[in-house]
Parts: sequence; C-alpha cells; structure tokens
Amino acid sequence: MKMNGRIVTSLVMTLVFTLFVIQALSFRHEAAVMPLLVGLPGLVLSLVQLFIEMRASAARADDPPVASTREVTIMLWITGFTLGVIGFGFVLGAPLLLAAYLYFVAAERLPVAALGGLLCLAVMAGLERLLNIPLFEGLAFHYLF
Amino acid sequence: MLDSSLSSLFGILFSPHMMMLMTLGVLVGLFFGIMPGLGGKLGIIFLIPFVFGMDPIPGAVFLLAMHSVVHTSGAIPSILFGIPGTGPDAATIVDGYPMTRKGEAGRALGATLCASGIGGVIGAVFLSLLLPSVEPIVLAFSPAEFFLLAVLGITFIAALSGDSLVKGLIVGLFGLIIATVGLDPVSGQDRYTFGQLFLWDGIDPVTAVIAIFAIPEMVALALRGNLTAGRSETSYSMSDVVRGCIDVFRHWFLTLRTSLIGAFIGLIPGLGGDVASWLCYGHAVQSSKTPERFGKGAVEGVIAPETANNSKEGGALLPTLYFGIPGSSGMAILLGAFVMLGIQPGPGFAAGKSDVVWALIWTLAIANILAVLLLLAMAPWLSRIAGLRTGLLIPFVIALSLLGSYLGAGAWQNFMLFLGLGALGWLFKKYDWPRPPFVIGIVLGPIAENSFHKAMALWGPAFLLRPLSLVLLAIIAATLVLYIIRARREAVAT
Repeated sequence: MKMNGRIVTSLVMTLVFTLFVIQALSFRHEAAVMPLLVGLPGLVLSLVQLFIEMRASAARADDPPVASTREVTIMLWITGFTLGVIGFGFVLGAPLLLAAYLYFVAAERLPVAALGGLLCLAVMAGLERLLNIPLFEGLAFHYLF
Repeated sequence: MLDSSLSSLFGILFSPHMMMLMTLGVLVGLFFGIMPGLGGKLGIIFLIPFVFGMDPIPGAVFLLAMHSVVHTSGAIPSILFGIPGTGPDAATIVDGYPMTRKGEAGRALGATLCASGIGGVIGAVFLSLLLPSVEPIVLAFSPAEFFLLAVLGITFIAALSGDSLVKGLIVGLFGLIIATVGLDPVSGQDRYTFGQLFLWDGIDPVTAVIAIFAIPEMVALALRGNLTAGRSETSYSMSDVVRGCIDVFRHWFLTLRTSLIGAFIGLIPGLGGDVASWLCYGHAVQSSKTPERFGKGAVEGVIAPETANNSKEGGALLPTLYFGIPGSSGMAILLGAFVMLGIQPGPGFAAGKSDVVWALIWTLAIANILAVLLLLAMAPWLSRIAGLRTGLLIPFVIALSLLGSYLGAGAWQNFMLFLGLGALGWLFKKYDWPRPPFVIGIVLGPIAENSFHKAMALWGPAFLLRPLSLVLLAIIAATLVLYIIRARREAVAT
C-alpha cells in the first residue's frame, strides 16, 4: 500500500479525534460528556474512512503526490507571511511581505510589487490611524522596544 | 410588523451613511463575483476587518449587501468567457456562453442582470412573507429541539454538500469538537487549552472559518492562474442589453417560478446555490415547449439559474438567523461575522430583534436593485474584465484574513491556529472533504452543548421522546436513509 494524500487526510482526522477522546477521558464527568459524545462517533467514522481510503489505494496504481511543488511554495509563503506578521506586525510586516510575494512568487514587475506594498501600508495605517483600530505591532517590537 | 418594516426601510433609505455602506458593499460584492475564483465567501472574509467596531445593523447591512449580489456579477464571466465567476454560476454557461458565440452577448447579459435583480427581490419578499409563520415555531422550540436541530443541521449539510456522507459527518463532528475547546459551561473546567490563556474563551470561530476557507482558496487560485487571460473581448451594444432585460419580463412566469423555487431551496440548509441553479435550469428545460433550443443559446436557460441564484439568499437567511443553521457555506461565514458584530442568531430573533431582520430583508431587496443599476451602467465595459489578474489579490486576501482573525479575537496566537486549520482546510479541499459541515459544527457547537445540558437537566434522556424531538429524529433518520438509497442507486447505475 502506498501513502497518498487521501490516506494522509483520513489519518490526520483519526489522530485528531484520538487525541481529543484520550484527553476527554481525564475531564470531570460534566466537562467530558460533549467531547465524548462528539469525539467517539468522529473517531469511529474516521477509522471507517481510513479503511475505505486504504482499500481504494490498493486498487489505484498511480496516486498523485500529496502536494505539488507549486502548492508547497504557496503554503510556505503563507506560513512565512503569517510568521512575518507575528514578528513585525501588520503595519510593517504585512506590506513588506506582500510586496515580496508580488515580486518573487507572482513574478510581477518591481513597480507593481511596490505599489501593492504601499496600498497594503495605506490600508493598515488607515485602519490604525483613521479608524483607531488597534493592530498587532509584532513580537519583535514588543520585546525590543 | 408593518411599522417595524417601514421604519427599517426609511432608516436605510434616508440615511446617507447606510446607503453609502450599502453601495460600497454592493461594489465589493460585484467585484468579488466577477473575478473567477473569488466569490462571496472570500468577499466576507475580505470585509470583516472593516466592520470591526461598527454598530450591528450597519455592519450587517454592509456585509449582506456584499454577499447578496455576488452571483449577479458572477454570471458575467460565465456568459462572456465560459468561466463561472462562482460555482453556482456554472449553470448559466450552458446557454449563456452559446449566446455569446452567436453574437448575443449583450442580450444574455441584460437577461442575467434583470433576472438576478428580480430573483433577489422575490427572495426578500419570500422571506418577509414567511416571518409571521416561523416566529411561533422558533418560540415553541425547547433546548431539546435546539440540540437536535444542531445534529440535523450537520446531518443535512454532510449529506448534501459533498460526495461522501462519512466525510461530511467527520468534518461536522470535527467542527463540534473544536467548539468544545475552552472552559466547560457547566463545570468551568478548562478543556484542550494546554495552559494557553487565549484558548480559555474557546477557538475563535471567525479565525477557524477564515482559515478553513481562505487558505485553500488562495492556494487553488495561485495554482490556477489568471483564467480569463488571453481571451478575446466580446462586443455588444446597449440595445442588446435592453433586449435581454425585456426577455425577462416576456418570460415573467418562468422568472416567478424559478425565483420561488430558488428561495425555497435556500431554506433547506446545505443545498446551496449549485442545487438551486441546476434545478431551476432543469425546470426551465422541462417546462419549455421547445427544449431542443437549450444548450444552444436559449435565453430562458440564462434566466432560470440566475433568478434562483439570487432568490435563494432570501430563503437561506431564515434558518441562518432564526435557528442558527446557515443555509449555505457563504451564509455560515456571514453568520460568523454577524456573531462578531454582536448579532446572536437563534430564537432571540423571534423575540424583539425584528429591526435587525427587517433591515436585512430590505438590504437584500435594495442591494439587488442597486447591483442591477450599477451593472447596467457599466455594461459597455464589462468585457474588459478579461484583463484583470486575480493572482494579484492573493496576498491581499491573506493579509486581510489575518487581520480579520486578529480583530475577531485580539490574540496573535490565533495566527498559529490559522496556519494549522488552513493546512487542514487545504487537505479537505484537495481531497473532496466538504468544508461547510465544519462551519456548521463550530458555529452551532456552543448552542448544541448548552441545549444538551439544559435538556438533560430538565427531562433526562427522555428529552429525545418529546413530540418535536421525535419529528426531528425522524427527519435525521430519513436524511440518512435517503442518502444511502441514493448512493446505492448511483453505485448500481455506474
């Protein structure tokens, strides 16, 4: 049997429900009722789905890989963007990373990427200054200043 | 009721602030509809940061105005390029695109715009007519019925929103169990918080819903590229567009029938726009005296799905507001945004929230009319959308998704949940696991748990034997049995 994305997804769901159920067993009775009421059927159904996928996988000769290079690139960029915002906040991190995406990943020309970054900066700064919405300033600023 | 309705109408029409918000919402909705691959769900995600801090009614009006007109413009790329702007607009391609190839693009556009507008208004009327009968039903529901209603909502959506009931149920249960994170409402014990203070209030539903929908859609958009790039522009005159509008009135009975069918389908959680538009397209073919014209550019084939697409929003609003069961995945995200605005769905709507309900009904009607007028004014330039690049929007949507997540809960730690749930949502999308049941689960989870504990305290396990409970249990069983019968038939047929 070859591991494929369908099996991985079913396996992830099985693991998630297993962890939730095991943890729920340590809760007080009232607190454990709902997690067990939901988690146990979820676990059983996940195991059924895993079995279905494993049986189907044996019959399939050529399963595609879990993720293509392009998909991994985009997911990595989204992860990097999120970590960038955690590090440097919305006003600084988001415009810089947005411009970087447009230039490096979307292969836009430098003026277009810069314009995108400036537009993002305008939106973030506008929300913060004009609408008085407090935006996350980033952990770097939080710890350094 | 009339007083409340009229005061809501005047409150919108004579308030420049409300009209400006509605116009803005409509423009954003038209933009998200016309760009293939974006759609209403991402539109709401995009707008969530901007409604933060708004009063409930203006915020809800802004979001609903955006959401209710997405399909009006979504039909335009279907007609001009054979590419649906949103999923439910695919049915419009069948006759809309052949009309363009026959040189009738303007007529098809006129028909789709007027049909969408009329459908939207009829959907709003349908909703307003149902209000007097639904309010007593909602008020008759006890905690026992609300618990079973949550189970029914997940079962319905699981059975109807994907190709596998098991996958749908797993995802729905996943949403429910995610909703148990935080302090237990009965004992106060912390559950699945792992010592993290930000999890004490539970996982923020706005973050979870945004992650499950936005990240996978952005990955898909990045992979697909610009769909309309390189296609030739289509020319048409304004008189062609007017001719299409007249067609809608010429086929007035079909317009009325498909609008009502669409609104009724919207009432049923989980069926959504795809079912509404295809069912109405099928109805137009079946009820036509010349069915052989369909698929080759029949204007009725454009009118039927478009009226249904817009009228279903009126029907879908009813279970969303009164029972907390979103009629579609778009409504589910809208529901999350409403909760963020302080509008709590459920029986409270039947007891003293009529101002919100009427504001939303009028928004549906006015936004649809506004969208048609705006698009008619823009009609000569609509074919230029071929030059727009959807890929440029990807980083903006991600940035605004993070912003929406932060403003919803105010904790940066939610960004880690955003990534984890986003990756899971991407697996769901790629391997055909339906995502709407997750939204239903996480939105209804707290209501289901509270109702369950109250029902157990009042009646014990015998709450399942109450008359209304038995009716709901029978509907749940019938949904499952019908699904199994349908699946077996399909298996035999293939």
